[in-house]
Amino acid sequence: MKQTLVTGNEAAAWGARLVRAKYIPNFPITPQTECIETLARWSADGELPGTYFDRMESEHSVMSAAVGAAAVGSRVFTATSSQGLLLMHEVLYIAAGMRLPIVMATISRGLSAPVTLWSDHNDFLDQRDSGWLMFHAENNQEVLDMVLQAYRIAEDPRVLLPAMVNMDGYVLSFTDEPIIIPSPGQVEEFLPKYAPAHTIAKNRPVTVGPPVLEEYSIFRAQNHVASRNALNVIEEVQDDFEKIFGRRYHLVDEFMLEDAELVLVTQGSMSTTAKAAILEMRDEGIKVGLLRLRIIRPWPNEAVAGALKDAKAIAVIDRNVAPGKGGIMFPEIIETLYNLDRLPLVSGFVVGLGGNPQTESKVKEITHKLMDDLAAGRPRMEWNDLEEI
Amino acid sequence: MREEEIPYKGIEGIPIIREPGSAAKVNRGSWRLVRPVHHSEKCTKCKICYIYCPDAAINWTPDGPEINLTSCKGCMICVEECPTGALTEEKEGA
Repeated sequence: MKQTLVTGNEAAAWGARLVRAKYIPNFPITPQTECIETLARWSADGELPGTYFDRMESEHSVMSAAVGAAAVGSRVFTATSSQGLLLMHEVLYIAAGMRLPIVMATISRGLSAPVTLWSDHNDFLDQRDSGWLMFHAENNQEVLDMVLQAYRIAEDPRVLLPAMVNMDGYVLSFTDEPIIIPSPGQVEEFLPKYAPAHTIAKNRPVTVGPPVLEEYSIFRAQNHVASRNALNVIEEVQDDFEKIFGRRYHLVDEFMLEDAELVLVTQGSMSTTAKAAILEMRDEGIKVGLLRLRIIRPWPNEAVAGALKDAKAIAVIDRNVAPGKGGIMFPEIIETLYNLDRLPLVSGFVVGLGGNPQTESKVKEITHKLMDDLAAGRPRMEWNDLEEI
Repeated sequence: MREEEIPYKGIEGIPIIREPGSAAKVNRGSWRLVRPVHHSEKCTKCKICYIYCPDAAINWTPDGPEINLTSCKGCMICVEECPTGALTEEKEGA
């Protein structure tokens, strides 16, 4: 198969192009800008027939316009980062509550203050409870594949929820990687024309998202059940996806876990670096493996617990921080393991904030610290980037 | 209800009102604490109350304002704005 060199931003743009998104409201922000620039260029060159590329005045307006367009039955794509994602925050809950299958690429960047342009996952994970489906890609091929899958999953009548596809800013967004760009025909086979189940139309006026009284709880429960339904749908679409595109994904990405005593839990692009470090450590006889979280919401409890149940010690590597608590995924992992017969030791590491590089040597350092913790029988919660300060 | 027992209602579980204008059928003023009362002997029919009502709860008739109590929330803006004291506040249920 022919491979093309594209950045993560371009991969997301290709996703929007291939799904024939009808409406793309947008507002630029580093490091997402190139994704929007790519779509703007295609739009100006007439390569996006039938797509309305709409420049807006803020991210809050972008998501509001996305909600409106999705409510009248359009397939909508947009992208943002960091402060822009936070400005959308209010409307994200509305998109989920109205059950509109919008897909948005988020390109992770740390949050101000102080200002950083580089990547960490606080902007993405801040949307954890918004009701959106949340996917996190490891590389540019997965960015494109996830955008295609996200539409199929989000538009499924058992789900009908918006979906976020996250990639790490700079590391993926501005790095060329060889990826396979599928043909429009293949994508059309995988993702048919969007046939919305509920829309506002001129001859069929409805009120979407009205005020309610005690029914509120019912609608929130439906949002939750729909998100849980998505776990089955994610697994179901893999057969079709593999048949058409020749690639297959799982709820979680397991790397050398069969006999692993030590397991690193990671998310996003740092997983690739960690996998390279694991290969080297395996040569040294260290039984270490990796679990990459690629579906954050809905949370794949069984897949995560199943992958971690035989581990002796686990290092949850969080590229984010909830000040006053610690890493955001650390307690989620512990909660997932809580009902196992035997609880492995779990240490937490906060790393790579504001784009601090996660090198192979840092991954090895974490693994050795985890071995120390296992020997001492005492877990730790540690910040990994502060030694040089 | 246990989590696994919650049925998935599909499109019925999405917050949409499919019948346009259905709010007209319900009493939207049931939680009012005070109501405006009109005294026609003081009224100059200046229409200020009619214009100021934020909820369009005042209908205009040849005899002056007619307050629609299924819509009035009791905000008392009309009472505040009436220049001649033709509208006064009265406690609900008093």
